[in-house]
Amino acid sequence: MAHCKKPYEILIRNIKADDRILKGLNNSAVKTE
Amino acid sequence: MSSKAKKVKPDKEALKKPIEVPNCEVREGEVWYPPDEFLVYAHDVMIRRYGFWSGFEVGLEPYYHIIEEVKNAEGIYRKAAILLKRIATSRIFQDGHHRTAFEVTKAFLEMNGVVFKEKDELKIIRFIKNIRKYDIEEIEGWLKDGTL
Repeated sequence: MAHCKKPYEILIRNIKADDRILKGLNNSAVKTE
Repeated sequence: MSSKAKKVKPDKEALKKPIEVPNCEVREGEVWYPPDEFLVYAHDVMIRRYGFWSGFEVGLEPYYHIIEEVKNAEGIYRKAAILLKRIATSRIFQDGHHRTAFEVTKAFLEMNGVVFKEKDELKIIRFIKNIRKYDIEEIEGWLKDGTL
């Protein structure tokens, strides 16, 4: 069943790796212009 | 996930704990499309880790239309562009659409054998925050090679 978990494993790995991006998307102090 | 919205503060303990992984079906050799439970799971993780409003606003109905539009599009990058823009600008949940759209789209690309190319974190944040300004062609180009 290991293969069945792959999309969730990819998602979780990426969420951990993208921590600063996700905090930035959650932060209105990051200027968008 | 509860349908009632409540304000959730970022949980520092949740950042330390391993994230539980549910099972799912994946068929080899076919385009993988994120099922609705995958979207909800991604959103739940976002809210647990980074806070703000949990729960649905209009619910999952728009997502079924988004997935139909994605299935009808040609090419993985075009499909990903539609997925990213439509989730980010939807009102499925109370909060967290941009974060959820970004991570679901990244997983969609990777599951279908494509790597998300842009590495500059500030550029990514700005692009995703401004995603309403871009049309599907522009988003497709950005996903392909980071150009606008």
